[in-house]
Formats: sequence, C-alpha cells, structure tokens
Amino acid sequence: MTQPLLQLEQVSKSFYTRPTAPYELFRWRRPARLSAVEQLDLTVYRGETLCVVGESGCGKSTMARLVMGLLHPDEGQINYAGQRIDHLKRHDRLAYRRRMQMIFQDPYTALNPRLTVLHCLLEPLLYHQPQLTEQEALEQVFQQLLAVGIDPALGQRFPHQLSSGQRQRLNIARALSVKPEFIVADEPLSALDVSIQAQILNLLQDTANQQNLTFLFFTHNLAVVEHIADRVAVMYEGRLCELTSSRNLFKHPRHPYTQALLEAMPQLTTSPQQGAKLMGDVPSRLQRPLGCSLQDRCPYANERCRHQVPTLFSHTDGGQTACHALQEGRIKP
Amino acid sequence: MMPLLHIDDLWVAYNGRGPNQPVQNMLHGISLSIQRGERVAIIGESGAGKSLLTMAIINLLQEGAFIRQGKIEFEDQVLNQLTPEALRLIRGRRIGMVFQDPMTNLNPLLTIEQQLVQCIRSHRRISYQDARTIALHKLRLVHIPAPESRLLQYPHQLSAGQRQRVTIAMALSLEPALIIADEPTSALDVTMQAEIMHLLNHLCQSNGVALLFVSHDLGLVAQHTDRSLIMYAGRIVEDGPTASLINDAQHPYTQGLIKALPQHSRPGSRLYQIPGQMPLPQQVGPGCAFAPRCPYTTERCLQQIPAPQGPGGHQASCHLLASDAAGDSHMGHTGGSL
Repeated sequence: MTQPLLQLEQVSKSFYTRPTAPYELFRWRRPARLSAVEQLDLTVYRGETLCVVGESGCGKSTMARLVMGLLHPDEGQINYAGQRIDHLKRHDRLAYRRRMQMIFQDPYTALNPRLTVLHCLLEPLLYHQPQLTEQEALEQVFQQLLAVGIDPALGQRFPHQLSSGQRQRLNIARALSVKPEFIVADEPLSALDVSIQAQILNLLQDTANQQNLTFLFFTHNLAVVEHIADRVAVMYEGRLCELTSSRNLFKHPRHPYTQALLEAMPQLTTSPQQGAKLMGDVPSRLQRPLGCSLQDRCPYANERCRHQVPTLFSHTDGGQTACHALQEGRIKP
Repeated sequence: MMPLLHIDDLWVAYNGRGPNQPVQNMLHGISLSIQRGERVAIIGESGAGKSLLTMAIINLLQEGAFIRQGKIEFEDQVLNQLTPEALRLIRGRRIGMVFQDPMTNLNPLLTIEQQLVQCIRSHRRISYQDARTIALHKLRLVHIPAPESRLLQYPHQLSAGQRQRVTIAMALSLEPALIIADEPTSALDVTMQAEIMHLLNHLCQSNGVALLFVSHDLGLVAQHTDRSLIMYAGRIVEDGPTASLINDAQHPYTQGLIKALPQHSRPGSRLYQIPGQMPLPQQVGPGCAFAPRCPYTTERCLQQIPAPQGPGGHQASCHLLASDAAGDSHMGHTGGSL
C-alpha cells in the first residue's frame, strides 16, 4: 500500500478539432484546442483500488488511455514502478503490456467478433509467452474461464452468442489471462443491467483480493465507488477536484462539486431529497474560462475563482482538494 | 373514479420471421391503471418489454409487432381500436412523450421555435404569434436560460441537458393529461439527471399531469413516483406503492434487485447476486418466468403462472405468497435491512 506503482506527474493532453465537413477545408480557421486532461498529478499505490469519478467528457477515458499508452501525453510524465513509460517505443512497451491490462466499457465492441472464446484468450497468452506449448496454454485458458465463471463448454462460441454478462466476464478473463499486476477498468459496469452488475462487481472484487491486484477504476456510478474504492479521485473538466479516502469522501465531502455529485446520487429512500445543488451546464470544453472550471455553477465562486486555477492542497487528514474557497476558509472544511 | 389510463390483459406479439414460424409473445397479459395526476414507474431490465409497453399504449409499435389481445382505455376511448386519424388527436395532445435520447428526438433541421410552434399549431388552431408565446412560456417553465435567443437555435447548439428540457417543454406544450417518459435521463450525467427528474416531477405535480416513468433504476424512481410496477420478461411481477415496494418487497425478483444494489451493502462486502440472466420474453416456459433464477422455486412454479396476490394496492405474482405459511418461512424480510 505504501509503495507507489503508477505516478502521473503534471500530465496534460489536448486534442484539436478537425474540419467536420468538406466545405470547412476551404475556410481558414484555426483548429480549436480541447484540453482533455490538464496538469494531472496522481499516484496509485500497490494493492489499492483507486476510483476516478466524473461526468462524461471530464477526461476519464483520456486518462485511462494515457496510462495504458494508447495515447501519449503532450506534457508531463508517467512512471510505472519507477520507470518512465510515456513515449516508449512499441517494442519497449511490450513488457509493460503484460503487467498492466485494461477492461473496456462496452463488452461487445471490445471483443473480436471473429474469434471464439478460446481463441480470444489463447491469443494474448501465446503472444506474451511464446514458450508455452499449446496444451499448457489451453489448460491455463480453461482455468481462467472457470475462475471467471464461464462454462468451458462455451469455448467454441463467438461473442455474439454470449450474453452481455458473459461477454464482460470474457473481457475480464482476457485481461487476467496474462497475469497482470495492474488493471485499468474504464466503466466496466455501465453497459450492464442491475442484476448482472452485481455479478461482475463481485467477480472483480474476488479477483482483486485473491491476486492482490492494483485497480484503477473509472466510473460515474458513486454507489459502485463507495462499494469498492480505497481512495477516490473526483475529476471535473480534466482536472482533479478532490482526492481522498473513500470513507472520508462519502462521510465528509469537501469540494463543492463533490458535494453536488453526492447530492445527485440516487438514493433508495422515498423521502424527498433536495434539488440538485449545481445549476447550469458543463461549460464547453473548447472555450474554457480562465480560472476554476466550476466557477459558473459554483455558489461560492468569487473574483479569484474567475482568474486563477486552484491547485491541490492537503488537509490534515490526508485528503486533497483544489478549491480557493476551501483554502481561504470561505467554506467550512 | 374512472382511471385515466386502464390497460386490461394486454398481449403484444411479433410475427414469426418465416412463413411457418410461430408468433412470439412479447408482453404476456399486462394489466395496469393510472389515475389522474398519479406518478407511476415501470422498472425492469433491458429486454423486459418496458419500451414495448409504452409504444403499445400510443400505438407506435414497430413493423411486425401487433396487439394480440387486450384493451387500452384512455379517457373513455379504447386506444387500440381507434383510427389513425383519431389517434393522432390523442398523441401529443392528450399523451405527451419524452424519449431517451434528446438528440434523435428533435429534428436537427428545424430551430427550436419551428419545432415547438409546429407541434402546437398542428393540434390547435391558433396564430403563429400565439403559438410562439406559448412556446416561450413553456421554455421558461423548464428553466432554459435566455429562452428568446434559444428559440432561434438548432438542437445541436444546445447541451444534452437543455435538449432534454426542450423535449419536456414540447411534451407539456399542449397540456396533456399523461406524460410517458421512457428513460428520460439515461443519456444524461448524474448532476443533470437529478435536475431533470426534479423538474419533470415538479411540473407534473403542479399541473396535475399523470406521469408514466420508465426506468431500469429503482433508486432513481424511489423519490419521484407514487407507485411502481416491476416488469420481468414481459410480465408485471409486482405492483405497489413505491415506498412499500422498496421497504417490503414481496416478489423474490424485486427483493433480489434491491439487495443487488451496491448502495445497500457494507463497502467491500460481497453483493447479493441473482444467478443467471433474464430470459427473452418469447422464450419463457409455461410457469413463472422468474422460476429458473428464484431461490424458492417449487414444482408448482415451473408448471403454473402465478396470479397477482396481496392486500389492497400492493400485489405480487408469486406462488409463495398464496400458500402463506410456506411463504412466511421461506421469504426473508428485506424490510428490516433496508
């Protein structure tokens, strides 16, 4: 728990708009910059489950892809177990691909429709461990299938012949098949129904406990976060707002955005909740205002919030928030 | 008092794919009624037939699907026997719809003003200016900032939350008696979801509009509805006041759904899981649809379809409730733990 496994240091990534229609090619216009992730500092410790929460478009998926090396950061660096891993060559990357694996959101599009269940699991295994004989590899595949609760008799089936729950199990089996130590899961539950969600959540937790895996879990579902997370990072518009232990976050949310998120979380009570705390919409990412990105929706915003971007600062209990109002004591922490 | 909407033993089926293929039943004898001003939720997993039911109510079934049997009564009219012309007078005017995806729901080629005015003027003989005034008023009702300038914009210029507000404004523009909202917030973010739910609920309550709310999320509807119906594989398995349904669920499926929510278990502990998955409505066996996944299944469950049981307004379709002695000892009480 104390040893850092993954470190992001001042990582930024921007995208540029492209002409969307042919006639736009003839109109001179500077491509607009969309900064997806901005100066992100985050450390994931060995053996913990860190959840990243945020609304759609806040940069969660970009961050997952940066960590996995599917995108390269514009600025900053990413360290894994003490080694710098951003901008690695394809060949050098290979060693890390085996140690870190990803579970994607949509269990159907993440699977190759032309590979059977067995081939889908055999491929990564034989690619990363070419010394295995086919017999040994098959044995491992069967073990993996049993471990995630898929009947090995389904081995000859194609993804379209599986149910969505089975597909997500297969995705998890594929990620686990190369025996990684670190799993990045990008919204692995959002495409599933409630009764299947519970099955998959249990499976993820069991494997994490048995194999002492480190999880970086991206989600927008706070109930899931409360259930599995050790620490939680709340993201808004590409920046971190709050980073604290799961228990503190749910008992004592500090940042105005975190408070609003918790307020908006559907509760299984029939007593009326207060209305949403935040008014207005998420601002357009292409015209980011100066200062704090929450300024237009935050009831505590003042002149400083409109001009200066808040940075993370630590509280006495180890939690970190990025908010001028909290730092100045305008909100009681 | 006559209910606003009354559905009696509704069966919806699809034609078989080939000439000799049998007809496939998708909805198996749905009965429900909604009073004026009542807020009702239909909850179920994807494929349970929730959307099919709402489409059957306003007779917008897709090709191949047809109402096999049953009656849909709405304000003294039988909807499934009306001519298309008569139906058109009801859709939009008496029954408003809010669909899931606000982008595909609005016409991308028309401005907000054109759409709203078109909608109002196709049902009421009033001048363009009057219709525009109504449209503006409805946009204010749904808290759209600067509605005058929004009227001139196209759907793609609005954010997802604002688009959904426009759809709600459109559904309200003709002062319907019933609004059917089919997963109105699933395309939206959590903070926006809370706001839209609040708005929809508030507007329906203050105008006395009945709301039929379709969702897969029990937690979301808990605070916003008076009554909930749980659907499973094309049947309604439980029907009761939302509070009593959540605190004292009778059907094993409802109990399982509530127990499976992560909100209600200790962080880090194992969640309750319902084994297996929901069968397709056309593949349900002769007995109770939930029997293959139910922890209390008996021989009878596999043979015979259970009838709704229970006192007054809270009914569940389960054999265990009929044989009460066995029922009490078998079925755990979820009420206390929630």
